[in-house]
Amino acid sequence: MTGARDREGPALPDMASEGSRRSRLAAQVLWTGVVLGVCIIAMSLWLGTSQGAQQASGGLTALGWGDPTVGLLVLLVLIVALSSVVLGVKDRVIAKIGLRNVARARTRTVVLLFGLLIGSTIISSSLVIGDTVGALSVHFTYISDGAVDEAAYAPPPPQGLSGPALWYGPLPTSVFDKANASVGRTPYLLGLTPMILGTAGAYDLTANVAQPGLTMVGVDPWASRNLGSFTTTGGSSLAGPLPGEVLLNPTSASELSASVGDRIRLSGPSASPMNFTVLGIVKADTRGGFQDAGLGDVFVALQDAQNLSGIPGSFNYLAATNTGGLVGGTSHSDDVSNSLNCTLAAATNGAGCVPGMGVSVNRVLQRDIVSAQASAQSLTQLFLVLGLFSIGAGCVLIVGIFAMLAEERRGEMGVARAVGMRRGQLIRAYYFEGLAYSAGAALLGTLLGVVVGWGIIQLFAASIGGGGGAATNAIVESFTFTPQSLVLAYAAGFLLTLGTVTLTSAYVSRMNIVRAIRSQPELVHKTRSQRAMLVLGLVLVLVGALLYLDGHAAQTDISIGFMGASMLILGGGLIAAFRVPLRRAFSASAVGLLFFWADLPLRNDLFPGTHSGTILVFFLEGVFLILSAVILYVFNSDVIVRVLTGLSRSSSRNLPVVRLAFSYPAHRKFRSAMTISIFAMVLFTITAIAAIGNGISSGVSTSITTESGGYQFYGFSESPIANITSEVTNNSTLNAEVSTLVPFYSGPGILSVQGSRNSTFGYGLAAAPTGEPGRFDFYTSNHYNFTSTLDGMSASRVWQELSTPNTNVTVVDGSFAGGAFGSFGGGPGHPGASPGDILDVQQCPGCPTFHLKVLGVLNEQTLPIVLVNPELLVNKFGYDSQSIFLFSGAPGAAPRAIIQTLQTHFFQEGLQIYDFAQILSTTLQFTDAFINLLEVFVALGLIVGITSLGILALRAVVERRTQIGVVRAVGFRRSMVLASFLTEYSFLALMGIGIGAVMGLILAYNLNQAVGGFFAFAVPWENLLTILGTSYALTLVATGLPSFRASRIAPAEAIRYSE
Amino acid sequence: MPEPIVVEGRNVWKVYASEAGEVPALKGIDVSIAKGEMVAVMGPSGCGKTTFLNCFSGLDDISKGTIRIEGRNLRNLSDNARSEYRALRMGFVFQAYNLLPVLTAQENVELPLLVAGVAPKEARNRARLWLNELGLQGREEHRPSALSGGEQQRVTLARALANRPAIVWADEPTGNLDEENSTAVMELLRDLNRQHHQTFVVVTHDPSVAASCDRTMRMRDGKILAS
Repeated sequence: MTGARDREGPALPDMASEGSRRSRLAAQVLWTGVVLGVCIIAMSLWLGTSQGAQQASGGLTALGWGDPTVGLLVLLVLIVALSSVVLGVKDRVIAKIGLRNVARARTRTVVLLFGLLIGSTIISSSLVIGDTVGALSVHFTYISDGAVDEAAYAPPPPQGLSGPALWYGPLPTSVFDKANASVGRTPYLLGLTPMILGTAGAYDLTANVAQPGLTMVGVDPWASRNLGSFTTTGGSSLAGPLPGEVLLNPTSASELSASVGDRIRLSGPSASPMNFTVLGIVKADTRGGFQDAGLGDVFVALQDAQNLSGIPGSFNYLAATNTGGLVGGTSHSDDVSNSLNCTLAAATNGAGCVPGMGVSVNRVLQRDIVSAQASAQSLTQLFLVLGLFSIGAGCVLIVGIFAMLAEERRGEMGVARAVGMRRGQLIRAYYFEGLAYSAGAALLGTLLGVVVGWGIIQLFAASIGGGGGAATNAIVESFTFTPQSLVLAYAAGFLLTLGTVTLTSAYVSRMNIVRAIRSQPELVHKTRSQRAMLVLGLVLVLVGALLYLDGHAAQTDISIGFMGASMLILGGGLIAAFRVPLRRAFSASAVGLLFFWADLPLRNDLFPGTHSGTILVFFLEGVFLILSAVILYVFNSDVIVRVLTGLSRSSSRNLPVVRLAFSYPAHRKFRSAMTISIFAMVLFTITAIAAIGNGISSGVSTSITTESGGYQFYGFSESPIANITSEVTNNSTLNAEVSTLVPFYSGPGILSVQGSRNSTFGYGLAAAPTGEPGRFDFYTSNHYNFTSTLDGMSASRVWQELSTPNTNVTVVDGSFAGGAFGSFGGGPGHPGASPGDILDVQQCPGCPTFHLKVLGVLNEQTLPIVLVNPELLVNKFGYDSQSIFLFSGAPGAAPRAIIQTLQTHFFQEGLQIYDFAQILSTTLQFTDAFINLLEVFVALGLIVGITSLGILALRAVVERRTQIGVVRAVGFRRSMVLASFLTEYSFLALMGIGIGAVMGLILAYNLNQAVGGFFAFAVPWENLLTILGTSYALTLVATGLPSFRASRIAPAEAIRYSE
Repeated sequence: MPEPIVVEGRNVWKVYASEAGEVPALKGIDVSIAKGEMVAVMGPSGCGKTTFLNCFSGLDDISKGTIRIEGRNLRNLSDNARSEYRALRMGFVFQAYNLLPVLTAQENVELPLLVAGVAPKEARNRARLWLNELGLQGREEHRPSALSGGEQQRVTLARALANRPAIVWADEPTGNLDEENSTAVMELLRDLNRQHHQTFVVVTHDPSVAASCDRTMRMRDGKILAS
């Protein structure tokens, strides 16, 4: 038979064309891009992109009520609120329509609020974390600085490698007496306290345990007047130690295994050791935790400290305490320090108000609090930047939600327009609806952010302190947030959400009334759309070129140049779309963008020279990598779906399920692209953080091998230890604990690198003795490796050359190789050097200069030393004492026991030993805890992804009800409907997860390349699979219920259904 | 020799529960339809025509009574068994076409074939044959939104018939078509009925459609008045 003739012809010829469909898609993509762009620009401006990270952090969380950021945002919220009231009163019907839509479907409203609150949550939790860290840092600052608002001191005497025992230069007590006489005349000054600060070794004679490196605080009991009293761990109050007594804080007591009444021998900087009695163990509060450098404090009477330091009648730290108490005192720091400068100038024979004797007045508490707050601000900024992806994903979700709402209400919007409602009124109706959602979501999000911040702080405290202890308690107790933070989070979240909603409303309210009433898709005027793309393309190319040239020529923030290049590529694609099919133009543009951001060497070639960069480059790289991948997906999803469907052809049973599942994402590209990009953005951050964290952790593990050179411990002695090798070998106790020992001759040197513009610099010189027996011979037994050697010579050859007498060669530590993040052990503060360079070495200014050729640059940076031939150091420089040591313990010996035995035995010389493994463990614990914290924080974005899929699935059940009925009618079983839905959402989620994971790894790899191997690049497979598995599992949870509901719909009911 | 009965209903009741109480949509219907018969079901709106179609095709459960299709008691079949039975032995034509908008015409026709377990290549060939037979050459790769109403209804017919079902249930198949297209579609149905000796049950309120059927069952208020 012949088919019936159809006189109607194709219903929608223009709609039918693939070109028109793609034009519509391009318009949707562009519009989302505009909204997302505005979102990003707003956030970037807020973060102060143009002025760099430092300024940004400063602009973020100064957080005073008068802070311009808070003030501006609150003002904007007030303007919005007032305008809304005026609009609402003027057009009550429209306001009612908008607000009634909120109450129309309560479940949906709850889901929408959940989806919209993420921006506020991220901002709020970042600020709460910043507040808490700030409070914690300030708390520790108060403990460390105590009631010392200002301090006057002189620079310390020249230091050797093992460091001075006195922290500051000695001053005669007459200086204090003269200054103290003027206390009554100095406004806001409560009193002055002379002290001695330095390091001391302590030996608990009762417990037989030694511990060098304690902070020695010499202060008289009367100082309690200004500094407050000590509080013992038992709760009683003490004024301070009398001569012959010491007070320990919990840390030093623990290190020494000391108890009250124990006899303690203290060894100070230069005098003979003295014996004391432990008067008490005092709390590490603002008095007992004063200047604790980590190993604990020992408080002695000023007179005893003078004797121990060999500076009778002197002090080296003049503490000034202001009126106003611990917190309020700093407000007078400017006045007091100005007065004190003048007073001390008179007391030290200075000029005018400039003190002599090298004395300076420092506003220590004020300075340290500012520094603590700056650290907290940096952390807030880090969290905010990492949270930008989740916020960006939230913006996309808002666009998606409102686009979906508009689609759902298209018919009624068309009718409303038909009966006379203007487009502006339609936008306003959406605006009022969005206003309600934004206000509610921002409030909920802000409060949720507090909860999230609390959770993260708890998690961090548990990770750091192992669930108990002082550190954990201090972190937990410091949890706090300021009202300013909450206001800031609410205002920013509200404005961000409302802005996105309003922009989206403006887009979705454009419609052809007839087509809307008939529920037909909107037509896109192809020529007009192409023209718009051309104009946008030209604008992007122009602006992009300007930014590119600016970023290229000037050594400005690299992100400007990168932005320019990206805009050029995108603009080129848009212009090409005027002549070339959209798919080709957009795909080519996306591939270009992908290459630009993924290929670091290419970017380096395009932007040669040194540029500054902030953490925002990380954000831009992520955004553009994901954007390129999503554009590629959008314009090539048909191919992807064809391939995937083709793979299922072998099973005809599964084919209908698979075909149906993939057809929806392929057909609803815009909606799918949004879901994919949301997932991609979130997974990108999580993966990148996991990979970088894994790299840093493995880098720390690797670096400990690198740093240790195969030894277990390193140590310094305050005074040289003669013949340590023979003493250890001949002492049966020591011999049982130590298997290897390498002492180094050492002393300070003045160095310069020939050909370097930098002037000379002081550095430690060291040399291991030659001819030591087997395991004690450094040159044959060490496992240090090199970053580079002269002409690629082997390590054994380098060591052999270095140990050969009368060879003018040297080996330098890893800090000479330079690196983006400074050194591991000591600050560089010197020019770099490479194998073949000549180092000019002198013992003192004017002394003979030795020209040493650099044979190799070590990887290690823990010991900041330049290794030379021992003959040079001993015979030419006269450095024949040994005060740097490398050890290894005997097999089976406990590290702590080895350390205690050696430190106790060499207590007189102030030997202090560090365990490489302990350093590793502490560093790793902190690194892992911090990385886990960041992972948890960025994983919050998964809420957006899960919500987006949940909304999509809920919407699909309603939207496809009839279609579900139809497929059930043609024989689909319930399980097939369920499988079809789950396959569809799995496809979307896995596509987003895959894009995010791959792009995250690309970023981690590029970062690894950019920072010169600061951390190793290693795919964290286990972690990654856990993250991906969890993300996918959550997807199934979010979509499982709607999918199940879809499968349970009775077919007859479904077919009858009309939305 | 009389044709065997393929659709048989005895004392069939369908009662919907609503907020206002129970609403009976079918009130003890007795029906017998023979193989190859083309039966029209007519009646005013709300008389229970669509409920009749849904219940007798197994898309909906009945409240009371017995329905046998080709001798099988529908109430004794599980949901999966009914789905399978629909896939293998039944076809559906809906007033609003109800094509899947995300699939092309070809894929829409292939879908029931694939569900019934036909090999993909065979399904493709059969779908193409049916589309050709119904005059849709060159429209195979178009999605429903790019087809006219008449074309869409022909794709629906192809989808319903591609599996050579024993019974085709059509709910207002011409409801959305103009007169000329209506006539064409009914002629087509009639031709197919004669050619393949399939049973057609057509729910309609259009007398001209009913006129082209072998028999008309009139319904009112949930009951069959005359046959």
